[in-house]
Order: sequence, then C-alpha cells, then structure tokens
Amino acid sequence: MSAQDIARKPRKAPTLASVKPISSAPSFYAAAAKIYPREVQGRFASARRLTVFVLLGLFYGVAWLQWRGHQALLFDLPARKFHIFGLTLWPQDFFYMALLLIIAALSLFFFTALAGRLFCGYACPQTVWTELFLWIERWTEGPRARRMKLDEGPWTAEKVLRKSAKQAAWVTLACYTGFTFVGYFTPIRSIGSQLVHLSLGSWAIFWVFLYSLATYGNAGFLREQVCKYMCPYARFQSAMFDKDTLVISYDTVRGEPRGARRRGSDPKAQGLGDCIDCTLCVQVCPTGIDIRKGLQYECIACAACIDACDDVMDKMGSPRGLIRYTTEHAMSGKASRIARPRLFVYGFLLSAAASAIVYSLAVRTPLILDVIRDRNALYREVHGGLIENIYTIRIINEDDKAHAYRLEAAGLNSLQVVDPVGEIEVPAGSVSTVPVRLQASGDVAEGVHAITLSIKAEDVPHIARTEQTRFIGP
Amino acid sequence: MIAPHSKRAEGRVRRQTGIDLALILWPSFLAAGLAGALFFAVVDPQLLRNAGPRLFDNLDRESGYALGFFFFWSIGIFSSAVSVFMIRSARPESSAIDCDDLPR
Repeated sequence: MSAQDIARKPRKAPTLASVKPISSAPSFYAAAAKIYPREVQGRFASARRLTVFVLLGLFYGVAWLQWRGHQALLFDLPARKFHIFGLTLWPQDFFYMALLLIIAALSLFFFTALAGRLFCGYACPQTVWTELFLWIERWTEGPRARRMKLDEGPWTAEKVLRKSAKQAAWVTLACYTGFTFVGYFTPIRSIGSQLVHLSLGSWAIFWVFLYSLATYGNAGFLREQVCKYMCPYARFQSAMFDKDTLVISYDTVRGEPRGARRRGSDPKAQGLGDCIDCTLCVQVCPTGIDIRKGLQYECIACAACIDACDDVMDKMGSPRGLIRYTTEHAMSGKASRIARPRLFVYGFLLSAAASAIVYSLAVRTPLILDVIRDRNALYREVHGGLIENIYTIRIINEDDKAHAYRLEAAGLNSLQVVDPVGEIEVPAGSVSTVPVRLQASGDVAEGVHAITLSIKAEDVPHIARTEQTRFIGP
Repeated sequence: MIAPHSKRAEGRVRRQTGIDLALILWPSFLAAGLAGALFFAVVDPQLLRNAGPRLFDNLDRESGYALGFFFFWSIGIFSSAVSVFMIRSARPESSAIDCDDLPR
C-alpha cells in the first residue's frame, strides 16, 4: 500500500489498539506491493546504525579470532567439539547448550515485556542484514524516489548498470556471509585456505551456497515479508506484552484531526491537531504500515517513524514526540509501572538459569570416566588364590591441557588394580581407552560386589571422577 | 481457491503459492535444525556406519550431519504440507474466520 493510497482513504479516528495477532493489513491473498523504505536520520536511526556495525562486526570478526592456538568460537561439528574461548564442550555437555538456549529465550521474553520489540528493531539478524542490503541499494540505486523511478522506467544503460552493481554487491556480501557462517562450524582458517586453493570439500561448498542463498533471499528479496509471514515471534509477542510495555505509538489525541497546514499557522484556529499528514512516517516504515492506525503486529519497532516525525515536528515548531516510545497506560493518562509481576517472574527465571550455568561451569570437572565390564568372562582364578575381573575404561580428558591420571579401586577388602599400575597419560581434548585388571583375594570375593573405580589427575587433585561397577567372584 | 481468470487474480494465486511454500519450508527447517541438533548431540553419525543398510558404510561425519538434517527436514516438510493442504482445502465457511470479522 503506498502513501497515496493511505492518504486517499476515508479517515477514521484511529485508536491505540492493543497488540493482537490481527491487523488491518491485507489478508494472505493480497498481492504485495514492493516497499521502498525512505532513508531516515535521527536518534534511533543512529542507534540502529551502531548496532548493525557492532553486531555484524562481531559476526564477521569473531570467526577469525584465535584463542590459545584454536579458533576462539568454533562449533566444530566434524570433530564433535564446541570451543567457546577457553571452554571446550563435548557432546556429553549438551546440557550447557540447552541451558544457553533457554537463557536466550528468557532474555527475549524479559526484554520484550520491558521494552517491546527491541530485538526486532535492532538485533534481529533479519533486520540487521536487511539494513545492510538497503544501504547497498541506496549506494547503487539512490534514494527512495530515485529507486521508484528507476523501477518504473525502461531498461536504460544506467538502470542496467545500477541494478547489476547492486546485484554484484549483494551476491558478494551474501557469499561472504555464507562462508563466515560455515566458518563457525568448520575451522574458518582451514576452509579459507581451501577456498584460496580451490580445494573446498563438496559439503562445505554446499552449505556456503545454501547460507548465501538464505542471506540473499531473506535480506535482499523477502525482507519485511519474513517478519510479516514467517516470524512466529511477531505473532506470539502479544503474550509478553501488557499495558506497561514500551511500544511505539502515535499520539492520537494530540495528532488528530490531521491535515495539511501552512507553516507557522495556528492549527487550533483551523481545527487541526499536530499531525500534518505528510505521510513520512509511512514512507520510512520498512514494513510499510501506518503507525497512526495503532499498534500492528507488522511493526518491528525500528522507530524510523519516530525519527521522521520528530524531524517534521522540529520544522513545524511543535514539540517532538507525536510518535514516541510510550506505554498504553501512559498514553491513556495513567501511570506506567516498570516494576510489575511479569518482569519479576521473567527476571527471576533468567537469573536462575544464568546462575545455574555459571555455577555448573565453575564446578565442572573436565573429565569423564566410562567403565565397561568385560562381557566374555565373569571372573578368572589366578595363582595365589586370587580372583581377577577385567574391565575397559574410557577416559575423556575434556581439559585443554594433558593430564596424567591414577586409577584406584575401592569397595572390597584386598581389591587391587593390577593393570595399569602407573599413570595414565591422556592428551588435551582426547579420549583414551584402557584395559583394566582388578584382583581380590578369593576368600572375600565370593558373589557379586558393588565397587567403585576412581581416576584422579595427579597435578590437579579436584579433577577426579568415580564410577560404580561390579566385581564378580565364584 | 481463486480461479485465475484475471491478471490480478493470477498474481494473487502466485503469491498465495509463495506464502504456502514459505509456510511449509520454513517451520520444517526450524524443526529439522532442532531435531538434528538433539539427535546428533546423542548420536555420532559415524556410529551409523555399521548400524544401518550398506548405504551408510562410508559415511563421514559431515555427510552424516547433512543427510540427517535433510531427513528431518523432509519429515517436517511432509507434516507442514499436510497442515497447509488441510487448511487450504477446507470449505471457506469452516476455515479460519476472516480477519475483517474479528474485533479489533
């Protein structure tokens, strides 16, 4: 829907509707018009520019960061190990990844309840990459009016040149993004050098291509449609909203009745509100909605309309904030509360999950011991009236340095580790499988006994594990 | 369903098909990502080497992850496609209430 269409529509007094997954937007079947977001300057545009630089800088930069001889952040799928700076997580530590995801979800709930769709407007990859692709579009095709004219016009040499420049930049950026993304799952330096030597494996090529395609499709082609049609968060955010949640609203009371007026004239004398109906708030909207119709689920809270309107209010000599961050309570003249039960509940759950992960990482023992009893023989009688049982132990050294471990058996009188007697060396981040022989004197070994096998690192006494197993006698 | 008797209607049908495709591919992609992560956190793809049909005999981990992901995705696509088909093929009066009828 273009601005002209909206301007032509009969005007109803808009109300600040509470957020519902319903909108006045056209239904699924309506043909979508291409949206040409107008460029905007202001406080929030600067904030978004900053977050784009910071977030994309982190994404493209951190992949190349090294930490003690390995990639600092690497979810090494081929090796089944996750490196997060000094921490190495094994598949056995999946618990931490699950906890991290829960923390991410709870943070989203918390910040949504507090300040609405902060995530959508500033931090969502969809917004961030779309912003970047829009910048490229502006550099190559010019500002909004020029872009619209270019699209309507015939295929001149200039149009071909501008469009191909845009596509070339988009494709290059998308490919580099795909490459970086894959670089978080396979060591980026090795796939980088493979790429230079044209020896990249077929799966690596495939995933780079797939993620390039996804970047290009989402940020260049689909854009706001991802938010409108594909994003579940846009639909269920209402569950986290209440009347004290910070949302972007048009001040209907102050703005209406809207209408054009001469600069410097008194709107009240003409029976007009502060809205001059310039439709700039609609033109800058990346999802193409009219914020004056109330809060809609398409609104990603990017605040572009606030910047645009503030600028207009400055020019008209009216106070800023005709469109502003506010709460439904504040808008209806009631007091807004920041401290409310919802925030306490989300905040409590969030801090509980965060403390759980910090605590469990602090007391985590980077060592796993698996004990498997030999399945072929229950026991063996050896000379000297001794009974012998055979085990296989698997020692996983999850630490980033090598350790020497000592094995001990307990739980039965005269129980002794016959093999291995010395220290068991396990290199950093490795698994070692060791056959173990235990012996106990025949007169105490009769029957089945619950015993324990423990390993302890010689250099760091608190790196130790104990496992239960059985010792079987005649 | 809209009969494509005008250019406008044709555009709408094309657009509906596009949205349907997104509604099928996207949630199943998310589900496949989740299922893949959970499954491969427990199962090393190399363990499948001797477990299944001869197909997996020379399976390296990367192929294992990719095959697993596409397996889960295809299951998800099937499920989403059935959902979308059931919604789209329902008689209009029994399908979802028109958005314009709902209170705002």
